[in-house]
Order: sequence, then C-alpha cells, then structure tokens
Amino acid sequence: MKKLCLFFSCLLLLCWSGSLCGYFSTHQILIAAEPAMHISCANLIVEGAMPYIDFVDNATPVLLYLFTLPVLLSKLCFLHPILIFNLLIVLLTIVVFALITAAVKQSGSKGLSLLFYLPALTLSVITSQLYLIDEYGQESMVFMLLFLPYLLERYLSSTGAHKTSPAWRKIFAGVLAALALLLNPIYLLAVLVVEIVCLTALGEVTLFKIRHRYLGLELLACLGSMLAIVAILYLSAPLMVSTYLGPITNLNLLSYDYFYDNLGFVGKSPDRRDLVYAFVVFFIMALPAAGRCLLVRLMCTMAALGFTWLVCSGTLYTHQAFIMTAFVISAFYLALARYLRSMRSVLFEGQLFAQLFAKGENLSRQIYLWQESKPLVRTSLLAGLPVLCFVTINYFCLKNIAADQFFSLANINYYGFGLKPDLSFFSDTVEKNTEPKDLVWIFSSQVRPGFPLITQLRRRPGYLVWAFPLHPLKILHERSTPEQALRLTQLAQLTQFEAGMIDHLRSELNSVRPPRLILIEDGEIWDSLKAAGICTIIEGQYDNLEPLTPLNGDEIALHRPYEYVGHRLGFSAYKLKK
Amino acid sequence: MQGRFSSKPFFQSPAFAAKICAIGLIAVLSLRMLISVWLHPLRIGWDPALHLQCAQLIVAGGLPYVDMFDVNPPLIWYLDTVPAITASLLNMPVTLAFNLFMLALMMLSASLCALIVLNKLPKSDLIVNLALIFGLLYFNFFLGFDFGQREQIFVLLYAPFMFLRFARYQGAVVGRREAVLVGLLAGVGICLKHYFLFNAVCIELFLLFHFKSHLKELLRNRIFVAENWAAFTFALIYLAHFLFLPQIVKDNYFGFLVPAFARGYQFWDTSLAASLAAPDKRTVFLLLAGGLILALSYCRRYQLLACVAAFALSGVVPYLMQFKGWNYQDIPAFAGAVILLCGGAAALISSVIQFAFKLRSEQQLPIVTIITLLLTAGLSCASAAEEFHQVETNTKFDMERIGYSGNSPWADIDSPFTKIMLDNAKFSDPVIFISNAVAPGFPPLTQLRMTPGSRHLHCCILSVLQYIQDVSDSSPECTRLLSYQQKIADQYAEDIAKNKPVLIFMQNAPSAEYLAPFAFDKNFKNYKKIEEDIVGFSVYKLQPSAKVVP
Repeated sequence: MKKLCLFFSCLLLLCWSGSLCGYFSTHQILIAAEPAMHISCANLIVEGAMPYIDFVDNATPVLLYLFTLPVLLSKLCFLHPILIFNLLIVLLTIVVFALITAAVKQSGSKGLSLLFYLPALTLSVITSQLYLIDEYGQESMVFMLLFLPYLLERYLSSTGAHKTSPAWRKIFAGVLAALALLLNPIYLLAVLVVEIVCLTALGEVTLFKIRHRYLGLELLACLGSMLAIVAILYLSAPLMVSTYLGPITNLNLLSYDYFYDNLGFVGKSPDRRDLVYAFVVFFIMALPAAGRCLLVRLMCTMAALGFTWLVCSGTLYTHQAFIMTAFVISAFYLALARYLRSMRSVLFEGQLFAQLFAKGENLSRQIYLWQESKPLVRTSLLAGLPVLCFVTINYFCLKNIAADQFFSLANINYYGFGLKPDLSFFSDTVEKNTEPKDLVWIFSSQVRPGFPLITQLRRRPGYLVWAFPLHPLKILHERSTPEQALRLTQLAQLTQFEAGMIDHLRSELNSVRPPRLILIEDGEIWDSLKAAGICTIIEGQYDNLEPLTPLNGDEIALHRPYEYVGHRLGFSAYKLKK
Repeated sequence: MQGRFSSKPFFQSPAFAAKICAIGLIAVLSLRMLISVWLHPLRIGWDPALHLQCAQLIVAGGLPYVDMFDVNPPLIWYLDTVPAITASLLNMPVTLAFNLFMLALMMLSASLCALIVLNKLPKSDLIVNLALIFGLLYFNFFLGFDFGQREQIFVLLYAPFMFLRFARYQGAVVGRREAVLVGLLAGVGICLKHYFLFNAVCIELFLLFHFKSHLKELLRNRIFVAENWAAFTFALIYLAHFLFLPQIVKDNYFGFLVPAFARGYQFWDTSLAASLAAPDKRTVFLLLAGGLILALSYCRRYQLLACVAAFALSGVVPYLMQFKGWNYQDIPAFAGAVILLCGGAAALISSVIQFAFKLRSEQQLPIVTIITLLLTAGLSCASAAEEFHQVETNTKFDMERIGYSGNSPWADIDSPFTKIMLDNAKFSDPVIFISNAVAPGFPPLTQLRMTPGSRHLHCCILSVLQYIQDVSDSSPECTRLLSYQQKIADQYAEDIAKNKPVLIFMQNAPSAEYLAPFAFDKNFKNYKKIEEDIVGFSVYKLQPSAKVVP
C-alpha cells in the first residue's frame, strides 16, 4: 500500500508537470504581473544595473537576483524568459517533491508511515496550483514550494525520525527555506512560528530533547544560509542593502500604515471571499487531526500565517491569498487521509464502507503488483503518461485558437510564438509606437497594466519600474506629524529619496535614449508627477496621443481581465517627438 | 513557608484551588463590570437601543412589524422584554436595566462554563480551561458601544453549550437537567440570528472528527442527547410561534420586510479589503491569527483550545457573508480570539513554569490561582478608580430631567441632537428620526426616554427599496415591493398626524429625496423648521397651536 502511494504520487505529479508544460508551451508569454515585473528588473540586473540605485522596485534583493536565472537561461537559448520562468517553476515543483519523497523514504519506519500522506500532499499542491493557475509563479507560490521540504524535515526531526537520514538532504532543505524566507521580510515570521510549534511538539521540554530532536541540521542550515546570504549581499553591495533597508522598507511600511480609502466601496477590491471561506472550513476540518499530527499542525500554522499576511497586505489580491489557500488545502487533505484511515477501522467496522475500503485496497495492491512484475509497463507509465498529458493539454489549448491570434516572437529575437489574448492591455499602442528594447514608461499605482506588457513585448522599464512610491509619499506629505521623532527621521530620509527619484526621472527624460512612449495614469499619479515638474518636460518633448482607458470595450474584449483595487483610471499617452 | 500552608486544603487539592480561582475570577470581573455599568447608566449602542425600544413597545402592547418596523427577527425583542419590564417595575433607566441584564448573562455563562470545567473536564487541563473562562469574561470589556449586540449575547449563551458538548464527547457524565438548561440557552443564542447556525455546525463537525466513535454510539450518546434536543426544541418552538402571530404581522414581515431585505440588503455592502484589512478592522483578524497559532501550539495537550479555535474561526464566515464590515458583526471572531489568547497564554506560562521549576500543571494551580486573583483584583481596582475619576471630572447629565434620580456622564448621551431634544421636548414626548440608518435616532430616543413618533423607527427600508429600484428588473415581485414606497410615505403621514411628534429630524439626503416624490413636505405644515442642517438633518418643531387635537 505504501509503495503504491509512492508510485501513484510520482505518477500524479509527473502528469501534472506534463500538463503544465503543455499549457505553458502554448501560452508562452502568459504570466502574472508581479513575476513579469521581477523578470524585467532581473534583466536590468543582468545588464549591469543595481537594484534600488539604478532602478526602483520594492521587492527584496534576493527575489530580484533569483529572477536572473530565467533571464540568463533565456540569453543562452533564445526562448522568451517568461516561458523559461514558468518551466523553471514546474521543475522546482518536481525537485521539491523529489526531496520530500527522499525524506520520507530515508527516514526509517517513522517516515514510511508518512508515505500514506504523500498522495494528499501531491494533490494539495496540484489543487492549489490549478485553482489559482492565473497566479502561477507568484512570489507566494515560490515561497510555498521552497518552504515545503523544510516543514517536512522539521516534522521528521521533531518526531525523532531523522537519525538515519543523510545530511545533504537536510542542508538542501535548509538552504531552500532560507531563500524562501528572504523573498519578503514578512516571511521571516514563518521561521519563528514554525519553531514555536515544533518546540511545543516536544511535550515536556528537556535539554536532551532540545539537543537531539529540536536542533536539527535543517534548522541550522536555514539560519546559517540566511546569515550567509545577507552577509554576501551586504559585503558585495552595501549601498543596495542600506537603500533597501532605508527608504524602500519605509515605503513598504507606509503602505501598511496608510489604507487606500477608496477600497471601502463595493467592488473596489478583488472579492475572493471564496478563498477565505475555504480557509475557514478546511482549517476547522483539519483542526482535529492537527491535535494528533505535527505535520497537519505545521500546515495549519502556515495557513494561519498566510491569513495574517493576507490581512496585512491591505489590498487582498488573489496572489496574496495563495499561501493561506495552499497550506490550508494541504492541511485539509492530510487530515482527510488520516480520517479515512481511522474511519476504516472505527466508524464503519464490518459494514459496507469497510468492505469497500478493503476491496479498494485489494484492487490497488493487485495493480501495484501487476506493474511491479512488468518493469517495462512501469517505465512506460511513468514516462508515457506525462507526455500524453503534455500533448493532450497542448492540443486542447491550441484547438480553439484562430490562426490570426498567433504571432511570432522572432521580431523580439526569441524563438517561439505568442497568443494575442495573452498580451496585456494597451499592447497595440506599445507595439505601434515602440521597438523591442525601447525604454517605455507606464506609470500607475498598480503593477498592471505596465506589467506583464513590458516584459511580454521585450521593452525596458525606466528607473521607476512602477509608480508604487508616489502614493505613500503623497500621503506622507499630507499626514506626517513632525512631533513624532520616528516619522521625522522617516520623512527626512524619504524626502531625500523622493528628490533623488525626481532627478533620476528628469535625467532619464533628457538622456540620449529617452523613453519612446509614456503612459501616465490620470489622477493621483499624474498629479504627483505634475507637482514634481515631470509632466511639463514631457509635454515639451513628446507628442500627445489619444488617451487610453482600460474600460475601453476593445481592450476588454481582446485581453484577459485583470484584478485591480480602487478605480480603473484612464491614461494620458505621449510619444517621443522625432 | 510550605510546611505552614501545606496542611490547608487550598494547597492540598488542586480542585479546591480551581474552584476558588473560578469563583474569584467571576466575582472580580463581574464586580468590575458592575462598577462600569453603574457609572454609565445611560450608555448603550445604537442597535441594542433600537431592540430595547422595540421590547418596550411590545411590553406596552405593541405588535412587532405593525407598531414597529425593523427587519430583525423578533427573538432579541422578546429577550429584551426582561430588562424592559424590570426597568418599568423599578423605575430605573432601561439602559441600566439592559446593561445589568447583560452582566447577569455574563455571570451565568461563565458560571456554567466553570461548572463544566471543574466537574467534567480533565483536572490536568484546569489552568488553561480556567483561562478560557477568564477570556470569556474579559472580551466583554472591549466592546464599547457594541456592548449588548446580538453577537455578544450569542457568544455568552453558546459558550456553555460548546464546553458541555466537548465534555460529552470526551465521555463525561452529563445530568439531564443541566443539559436541558445549557441546550435551551444555546438554542436562544443560535436563534438570535440565522448566521449563528454556521458557528454551531462548525463546532459539531469539529467534535465529530476530533473524537473517534462507532456510528451507533455516536448517534445514541453524542448526537441525540438532551442538550441538542433542548436547543432543537427551542428552535422549533420559535419557528412555530410565527404561525400563531396575527396575520398582519406575518404579512408585513414575510410578505414585505424579508423579501425586500433579501433583494436589497446589498445596499450597504462593502469590499473584502475594507472588511478584513482596513486599519480599524484588521486588529481583530490579526488577534485571531495569533490566537490560532497559540492554539495550534498547545492543542495536542489542551484539546479544548482546538475547539475554541474552531469557534473563533467560524466567526469569520458570517461576518463576511453579511459583507457590511460593521464592527459588531465580527464579535464572535473577536471573542474567540481573546478567549484563545488567554488560554494560549496560560498554556505558555504553565509550560515555562513546568520547564523552570519542574512543577506539574496541577501542582502549579494554587500559586497560579493566588497570583491571578491578586493581579486581576489589583488591575480591576486600578482601572475602576481611573474610570471613576474620569466620570467624576467630566460633565454630568442630571437624570431627573428624564424622571430618574442620579447622574450620567454627558459623554454617554452626547450627540449633535441631544441638546435640541432636551430643549424642545420632555421625556415620553413623541419624536421622529427619518434616517436611513439606525443611528442617529438611536440611542438618543431610548436614552432620553422619548417615544418613537412613528411605527417606522428608522427608514432603512427606503434605501433597500431604492436599491431594488436601481438594480433589479421590473418583475412583478419587484413592482410589488416598490409599491410599498407610497405606503411607507402614507404611514409616516398618518403617524405624524396621529401622534403629533414634538420634533421631526429629517435626513436631507438620501431620506428626504426618497420621500420627496410623495409630496412629503405637506406633512410639515404644522411644523417650523428650526434647524437647516445639523450633520445632514433638518429639524422641524411642532407649532404650539397644532398640539391641541381637534
């Protein structure tokens, strides 16, 4: 039965990976806004730019540097970095499961009982990725994948099942967890909370237990790797680190402090109550099992943390709910596996369900023995089914797409093709008025619609990758109270940052390669740039184009809908004079 | 020292120490609440004030949904008749009687929980379980103007049921009489609002999965038991009572108010971000998440924590289903979070003591009891003194003006309308607030002992109808519902003519706009406009000549 679980889990995961590869090989430029923006930033890094100095984004340096991997691979094989990025996430999923499977198999008798939960774990990752497929590759999904092996290692250590395990696996899990935690400063809370839960799982705490069961190699590897990564970053680029910890962190904190009042009205933020309801129901269903199984407890803990992060986000985009959703699904499936096992012996003893269970088990055993006796069949299944999934998904994705919806990526120097509906809003304007690698400014209070468009069409963002600093800076000027010493320091630091940012924008406009096209969101963003004198320069050097609006019927008909908060405002458009 | 005290039963028996702890905690916190209630005899929130007003009208012989219009189900009004009758018998402010009633509910709930914890749950969990009772009392101190909302009453009435159900599943022997009492209380709590059924179902699901049992045993000894029958029977009786109400009540409620609100309640809808992440809302959910994490850390050892966690979390769904983002709607989640945090903190402290001093949980109980009681009493005294000082130094309102003795802090009745009401009307005078929300008509009307001058205690229904008009199709049902707009305007006119309210507060927008098409101004012919715009309201005063009924 246990080997059967392992076999089916592997098969399931490979089929899912094959399906995803099929999907993304059709939708080669399909990506969520945030990872697309990070790819563009990583591209700037590869070209020699330094984060926060040469361009401004609010992601951590670790996240930005991790995203250089698909960019570098893209430069080697001339495939679109979006396609490579999506495939890398599929690969990461496989690697993570390989690690988990190795951990389960190498952990003696205690770990072997875990094999029963492997299908549940596999299914949970598949369910969450499938349900939130539009958010594929988001930072939260990467965090979940990188952190999962660490959770399992912590479970095995805390339950005393790690004695025979090889050290490399634990160190690897620790390093992955360190990378996960450094993706976003708020994720650091996870390590603290997970360790509290692991500590209390020891029961009566003694020094012996702490030494032998609590202080696992993966924990030390995680903490050590975090310190090493931070030290390397600081020693190699102290200005980058200090700028991130200074003005950028202050801007992020201000975004938390100052709630966007427009969100109070109906329909002004994504209504993902379904995810919160699922969180509540699944969490409650998993709670009974959490009392008995540390792994379920850890999953529930991470789901509760995910809920915290969702609440703290202030905007409640779907991707911000991914951690909560994915971990609560994991907890629920693990709990369900437990209930099914215990129900078999307790609730329906000698009854219809027990007979059904027994028959199912018997059938599974026969299938397993059959494929075990035929290694060729097994290999064919493991290799053939994923390929079949790939082909099938590919076929169904391409089936209903008209020929005129395809376009070649050759004009942006990549192999492959793109689908027009995958392009983001305003793609026609950008394509018509700019060339690949041209500098394009699209400033709005949200990542969209600037991204993924700029990344999809291989344009370059300017110094201000997106206009996230403008709103908190405006609010800060309006509401800061000088009597508060902390705010005063913050104000001075941010005023200096703001002055530098405006200087950068001016010099970019007056450079030899200024932005070819500028789109500025009306309202607050326009007002802020106008107050800084940027709009006057633009109006002098650029031709005014027809204003654009995401509410335009053609735009809505041609592109996928996207989530936004507050109001969908129009954009003023400018083209560089010849 | 130890030798000197070791012969005392307090130090010998953890159960005795626990009993002292439970009694002490309930006494100290109830006394602290009593002081607060006594210092603020007129303090009440808008919704509780409205329900109390309805209860007073029922006591005076009025019919729900005929002599008073509001969409809420009537159980809360029936419940509020207890303080309404008490107030009229003892000639005390009805608000004070209501707050004392709430205090009695707090004490009843905590005492029942304490009895279950002391007699039916494991002795090794006493510290944490007593901390849960502390939390059950403690959350009430943070509610402010939401003190007395149905959500709070639900938490108080349901908590003993949850504790008893947990004990039942653990195999405790439960007497029939106590089970029936606890079940009836829970039945009342759940029936206050249909959303609360979700919380109860969640707890039952949790218990079902938490405790393994055979199907027959489960049905016989866990599900078909006295407390469930009692709660279910109460619910059935409550539902059945609607059948025996006068036809006009049923027509108004089920024929108009319920279908109208079912179609137009979204008028007040907000967004998910505003419900969960706004700075004034998120604290509750962050506390909840903190409580959940603490509960998860200790739920293996203290299983009741997991049950309370399920209860706390289940409070989020009804809050979001209502989707108004009103603070009181998250009280079950907030109460659950506070209870969890208290239980979790006790578990944490207990494990630290165990690690540092090698004392088992039962051995810690006497000393923990002494420290907890001393701390609680000390802090309660300090905060009571501070509150007393605050009340003493602030402006006071002489309650003789409304026919009672004593004073009340002016801040408790302060509103932009208080002075106008006091200057232009006496207590028991009829006054009308035509406003599309419960506030600002309530609580001033209830606090200042004035009677509603119209059956329409507020005109939320007009916003609902407007919403239906704006968004719905022109189906016969919508047309039928919209025909009530004229009827409501006529009823207002009829009430004004009949009751001759001394003051009419008319909301300039949107209520006046809703009524304008029905030539509503003609109703003010005997009135003089004395204020044009007080926070968006025009104020009309009855002319002396019109007071004489022809």
